[in-house]
Amino acid sequence: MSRARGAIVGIGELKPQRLTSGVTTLEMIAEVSRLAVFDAGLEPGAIDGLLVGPQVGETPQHVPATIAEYLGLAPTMANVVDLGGASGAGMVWRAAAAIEAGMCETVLCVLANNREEAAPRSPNRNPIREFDVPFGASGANISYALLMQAHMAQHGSTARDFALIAAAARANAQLNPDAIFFGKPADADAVLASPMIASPLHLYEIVMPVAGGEAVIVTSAERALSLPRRPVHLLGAGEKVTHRAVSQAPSLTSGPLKSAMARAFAQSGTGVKEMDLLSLYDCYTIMVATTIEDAGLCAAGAFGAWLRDHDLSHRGDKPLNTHGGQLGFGQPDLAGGMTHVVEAVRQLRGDAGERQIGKAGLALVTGNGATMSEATALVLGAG
Amino acid sequence: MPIDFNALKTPAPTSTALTQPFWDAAAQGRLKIQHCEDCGKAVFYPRPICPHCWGKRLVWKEVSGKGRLKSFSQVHKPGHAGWLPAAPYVVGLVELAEGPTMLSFILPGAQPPRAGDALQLAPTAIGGRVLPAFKPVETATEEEAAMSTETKDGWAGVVKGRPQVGAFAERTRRTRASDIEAFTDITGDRNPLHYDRALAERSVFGKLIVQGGVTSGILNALVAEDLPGPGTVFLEVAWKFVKAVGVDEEITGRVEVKEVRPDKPICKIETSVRNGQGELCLTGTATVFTVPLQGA
Ligand SMILES: [Zn+2]
Repeated sequence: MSRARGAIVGIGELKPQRLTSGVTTLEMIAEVSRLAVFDAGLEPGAIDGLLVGPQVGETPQHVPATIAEYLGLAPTMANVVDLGGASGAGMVWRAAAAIEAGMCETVLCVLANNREEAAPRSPNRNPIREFDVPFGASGANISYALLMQAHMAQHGSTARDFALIAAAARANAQLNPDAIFFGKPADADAVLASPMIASPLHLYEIVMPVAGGEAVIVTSAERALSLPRRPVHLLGAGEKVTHRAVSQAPSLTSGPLKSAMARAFAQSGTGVKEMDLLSLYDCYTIMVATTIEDAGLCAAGAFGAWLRDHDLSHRGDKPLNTHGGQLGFGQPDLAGGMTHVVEAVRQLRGDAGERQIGKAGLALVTGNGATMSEATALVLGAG
Repeated sequence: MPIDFNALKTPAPTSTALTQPFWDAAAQGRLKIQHCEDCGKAVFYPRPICPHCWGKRLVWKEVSGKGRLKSFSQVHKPGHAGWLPAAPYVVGLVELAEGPTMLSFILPGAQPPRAGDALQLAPTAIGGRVLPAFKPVETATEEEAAMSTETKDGWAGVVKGRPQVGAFAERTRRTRASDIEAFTDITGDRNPLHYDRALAERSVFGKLIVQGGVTSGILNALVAEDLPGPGTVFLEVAWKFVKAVGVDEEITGRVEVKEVRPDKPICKIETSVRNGQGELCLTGTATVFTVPLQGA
């Protein structure tokens, strides 16, 4: 296995909420940043790198400066990471790279969002708005339904195969009191009985949008030695961005995560079968199915059989999204992708409490943005 | 009662001067897309430069209007309220015969849609404007069907039956040092690029590479195992080896059916092999013959 390229030494997470009122995104960023910095045993002044998401609340430009000022930080490296659901994982790699490049020493990576009733939607003027929306395709649901239908047509996968993914996420969420679906399990029959949104996609196969926030602190592996928390090392990473609109996807049944994961495994000198935790981006059930196949856990088209052969719970042989995934936890907008990083850190530290997995040495974290378009993969290791 | 799509209050396209020719043609019930005079490829959606070669010599051409349904969804809960009265309706990814894929509205046919369906341009007034929608090409009339049963089926006895145009298959494997030795055993090819690591690393390839036959071999497996399936042999191949494959690299072969002869079990396929980074290593076409093994 290769050397650590950086270490995650602090995490923060806000409990997801269906709606907020009178709370700004900046306020939520401040709350979750504080949790992460204190979790790391650091003073705010130790933060000299800042990575944030795009379009924070009503602030479309100068986002890092606005947040730095709000938090009283004066970073020597500040940037926006705009990779949709891959932003969280993408931030971790960029933070480690910035530290290696000498730009800064300790980076706050933060994503949060409020969720007001009847929030205005951003005015899109891009090719999707011009060439998809007029034909009746607005929003991600239809795009992922098209991917799912393509998988079924090419491989003969069934609605129940996909429902098993949502059911496993709901089952794991029963051990996470913060999850939006805590206390609300749903088995495969319940998933299949939920309303059809865009065939073949059922309601329970789609994440619930929530307000929330996630933050992590990344520093050098050397610096991590002087901090109180057991570090979680970044051992390898990979990324790939191939398209934006589903019509322009190079493949409907395999995505850019395939090469991103291959690179992360090569860089870390590990393989998918060595992973003790699979923390896989799950905006929709089809995303998990494709990632299982692209990771090489099974042959293309065989994820349904793979699911039936494995136990995805924290006690199982293939723990997958032990926090409930976003399908069970809720999707706090761009911060949703960071939940997969935060959960992996908890597990690799041995801090996951009731849902702690047995052996916790290595974790695969994936991020996915747009329509299987933006992909980042991380291999994390217990320090 | 049939839905009056034209009465829907759906979002209008947001055209620019660059994209206006697409919408002007659409208003006349035609579908025009850009073609690149530098690399010869068709381009969708419109751009100021060709996304394939970055050339600027893009010209508008009317397309054949033929396409294939790559995927579809029946939308029950539209993302825009203007579509609510039409739900459920079908949208699909239409691979145009010219190459590019566009998203479009799919008019209902006699049968529910299926991936792989042949489609035909069907300009339709939606939300107060004519859009390039598509409809399924209905299967032959009964009379035609009766006639066609009299003509001999060239694919009778083929294990996996007659393939569909547009069908494709993929297969992935990891190359091994033992592949090189096995290929040498068969052919006697002892090229130092496959054996002398120091020399290979100083060469343009920068690494030990496997023989081209190891790379293309995955396509033999694809046609014989997956598509068209058991009994298939190559009649003719036209392959370019555009990037060398090293040892212990993942490669993914892909074949896609382009033309199928009805009278004989012969089809033309597009072939490619990509490495783990998704880079093209082999590209080209082939003609294959599938020996009917059933009842043989
Ligand atoms: Zn071109």
